[in-house]
Amino acid sequence: MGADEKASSLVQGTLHMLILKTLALEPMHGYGIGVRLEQISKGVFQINAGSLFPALRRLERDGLIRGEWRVTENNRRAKYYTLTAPGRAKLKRETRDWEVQTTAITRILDASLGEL
Amino acid sequence: MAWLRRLIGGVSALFRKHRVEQELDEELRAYLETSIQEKLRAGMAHEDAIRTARSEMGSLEALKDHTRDVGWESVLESIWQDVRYAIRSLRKSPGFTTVAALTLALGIGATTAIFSLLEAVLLKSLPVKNPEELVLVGGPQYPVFQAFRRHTNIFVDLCATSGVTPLDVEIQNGIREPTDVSLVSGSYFSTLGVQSAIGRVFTVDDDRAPGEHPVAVVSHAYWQRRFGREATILGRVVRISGMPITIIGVAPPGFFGEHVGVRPDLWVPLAMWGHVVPGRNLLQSPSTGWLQMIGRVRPGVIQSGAQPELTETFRQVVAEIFGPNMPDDVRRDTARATITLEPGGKGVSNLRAQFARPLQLLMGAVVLVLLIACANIANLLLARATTRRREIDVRLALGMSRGRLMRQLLTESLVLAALGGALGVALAWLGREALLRLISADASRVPIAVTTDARLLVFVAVISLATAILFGLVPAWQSARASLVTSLVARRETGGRPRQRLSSLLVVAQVALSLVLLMGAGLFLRTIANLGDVDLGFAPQRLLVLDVKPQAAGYRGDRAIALSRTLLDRIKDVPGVSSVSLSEHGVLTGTDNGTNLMRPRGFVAGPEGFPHTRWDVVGPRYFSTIGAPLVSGRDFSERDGVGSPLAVAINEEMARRFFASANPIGQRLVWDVGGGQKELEIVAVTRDVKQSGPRDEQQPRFYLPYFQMPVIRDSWILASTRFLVRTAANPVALAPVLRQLISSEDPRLSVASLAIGPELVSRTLVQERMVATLLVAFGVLAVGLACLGLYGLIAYHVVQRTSEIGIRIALGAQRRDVLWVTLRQGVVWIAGGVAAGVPLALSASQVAQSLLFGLSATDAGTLLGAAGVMSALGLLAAYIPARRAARVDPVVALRAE
Repeated sequence: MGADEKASSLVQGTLHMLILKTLALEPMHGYGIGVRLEQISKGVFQINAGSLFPALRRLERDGLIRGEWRVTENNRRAKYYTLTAPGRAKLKRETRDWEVQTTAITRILDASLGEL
Repeated sequence: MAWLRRLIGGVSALFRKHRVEQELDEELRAYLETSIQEKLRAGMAHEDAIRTARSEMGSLEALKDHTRDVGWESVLESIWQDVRYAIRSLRKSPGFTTVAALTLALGIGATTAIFSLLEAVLLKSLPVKNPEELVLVGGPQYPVFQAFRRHTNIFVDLCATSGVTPLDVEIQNGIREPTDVSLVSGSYFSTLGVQSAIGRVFTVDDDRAPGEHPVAVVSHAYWQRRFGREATILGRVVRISGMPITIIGVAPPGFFGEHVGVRPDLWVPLAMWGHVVPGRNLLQSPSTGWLQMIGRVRPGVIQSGAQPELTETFRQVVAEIFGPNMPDDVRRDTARATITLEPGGKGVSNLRAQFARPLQLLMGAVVLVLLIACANIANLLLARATTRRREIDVRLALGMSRGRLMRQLLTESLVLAALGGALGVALAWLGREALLRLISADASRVPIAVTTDARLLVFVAVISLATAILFGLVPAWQSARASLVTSLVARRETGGRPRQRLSSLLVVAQVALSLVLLMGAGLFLRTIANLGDVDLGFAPQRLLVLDVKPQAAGYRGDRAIALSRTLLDRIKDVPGVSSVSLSEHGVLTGTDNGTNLMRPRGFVAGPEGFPHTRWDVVGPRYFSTIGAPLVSGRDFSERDGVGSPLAVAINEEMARRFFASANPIGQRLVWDVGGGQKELEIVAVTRDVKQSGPRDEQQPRFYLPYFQMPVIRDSWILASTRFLVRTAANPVALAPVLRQLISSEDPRLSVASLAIGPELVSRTLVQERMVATLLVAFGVLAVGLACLGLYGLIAYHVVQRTSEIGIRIALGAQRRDVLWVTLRQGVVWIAGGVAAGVPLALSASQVAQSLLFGLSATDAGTLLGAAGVMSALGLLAAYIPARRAARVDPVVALRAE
């Protein structure tokens, strides 16, 4: 499925965590999530619809986010996603795990003989 | 609880499918609009903004597809979609669908029919309570049975049954017919755990004193057939061999007793033996082999193997029967015997012993047919995939994933298999009757009930699924794998190399497998021919055998002998009868008397005692009547009566065994009978007569004159009295005349069975004929399918290359060359198939060796014949489309471009 090469270059499962984080800041519709991620990552991650919607569907299915129809600032209807309590807990857990892992990985990558 | 939420979400999504779909549509539209607006705000031109936004989003359908795939309900949903799509696309090509479904139906139907038979004969348990607790017990003598009943530490219950005896039963005044009666101990129904449908079944109290329990239980089928399901059947009196018997109950439907392949109509207590069964009263004799014991064992008792405790009891009982003067051979046999228990949950069956191997063989053959059918359909699917290439390419281009495409193509195969399976079951159901008739010697009675049960349905489901995967997987995989670009660009390419190679391989395999089946069919046809050529030792043509049961009408001793004399005289005078005689066992009945105490005076016994010999009691002119030429000596005549010296005729095998090359005529044999010894003079040496069929091994056999029997063994009662009648003309026309004559002599007399010689011979070949018939049918089916495959593939090539052929012909190619080029392809495939099939056939046919007669399983002539037939038919199948290729009109072919 060549459509989502960018997303698959993300570490598996990271996209979910990033979406959860975005929604933890404020409720957001699909397009907004993509834009927000691109902004924050300063253009490193470009999330296309092909990976975004299946991910949203999965998160909603697992009860981590909840969608509701609202009117946008441009007076259009859009489905806004909100973080649920289990979603918040999951984000917390994943953030902690992520930090532990990245610290470890960084340490390994920075390692020099002298430190051993 | 996540799974629960998913479940609920999924189920509600299934129901709100339409809304969910709408919502997704709307959400994606909103996304697209926002995206366009953002781009406009960034200063893009309107057109550009829309185009960029669209292309960023990619294929909307694919996106929706992937999003939908997230929930499990979508899997169900899309499977249903696939099924509907498959049905639609199959309906669009009715020709393909019909051919494929019929091919499959034939394969699955044949497989199911054979399996249903295999199941009924080999696999199914008796329709009784907890069949796994039942054991078959050795040591079959009535006193032994009574002694074993006391071993309650082993048996919860123990019963004995005589098997089935055809007896003369009179339901209403004057209407009498031979009916299958089984004599059983009072404990029979309780041991098997069978309750009555109406009335009651026997208890132990119905089987105490000889002759005092004139009661019977009828089978459900008999109640239906002869009593029209009358509710008033209880208390009805029928006459069995003239003895009035009261019906006390009806057995449950489906219960046929303990013997698979035999269906008694009536059950009568064993204690009644002496009163309803003419001939010897076996209850009072030490005879073995007529009683089958079945026990229900206590939990923990070993279900199989030797039982020292029972063996000990058996020896004691035998010692009591014979007292101090036990014959040497009985002593030896008893000391050697051990009593064993065998699992009895599937009942007793001669049918099983007889048909186990043939049925396994046929199962193998029918699976080959199914494989050939699968190869055919796989080829059809491959061809179809090529013609559908464009449709598939378009769908791939529109963003369908290859996995999904494969699933869809497999679904199509499954739908096809389901269709074929359903048709196949219908076919099997129709063919079942014919199959049952094939395995029963007597066409009027079908020996086993083949029912549709869960195991059969599972079998059909599994086999349909397996075939779908077998024929569908490879074509589906090939279609899904093909490179999009090359096939879109070069879509006029003819099929592609891999597909062609695969198709050729499939056709070659079909030819090879067909050859195996043809070889099998050939081997069995020749076996039948060989068996038909066997010299039986007598002439069955124009011979009638009438089994009369004078004992049933009350004839005993001198009266029975006088009756036989009268009947012999009266039958002789019937116009059209050229000769008549009688015998206890007749011809080709497979029954005999046996002894190991008959030998020449002074013959020294080996460690095993005297050689075992078989014997029969026969009337005057017996050998000339049955058409068995004498090697030397004279036929029996009226002279061999009470007053004259005791005479005996021996067969060639017995002469060889006892006299080697010396002339036995005039020599004397001695026979230990009833405490004394008789001396008989050999008056004839006869040909070896096959008593049970063409496969009989030669055995020593002797014949005693009927009218001397009272002198030779004073208490001897014939098991049956069979009149053998040689006719001058068609014996069938004489049958009713003779029946009439017998009952005019005494209305109580009846003919228990009447057979003509050739019919008796054909009955001995039931098993071989069944295998041969079915193998020929399977062989024809297989070759037909293989030829269809060859024809189809070559025809397909011709169609694909019509324009090429047209150009060649326009450029001056000879039609003969075109014909040859096309035909050559077929020749290569046939040659490849035959070459692969020969070693396959040679190794597969080994399995059948034990069933063959008069030729080896690797018989070169048969193999050559099979290869010849396969090649000839294959060439014909290839020739038809090749000729069409040669007739291609270049103008028409090129215009079609």
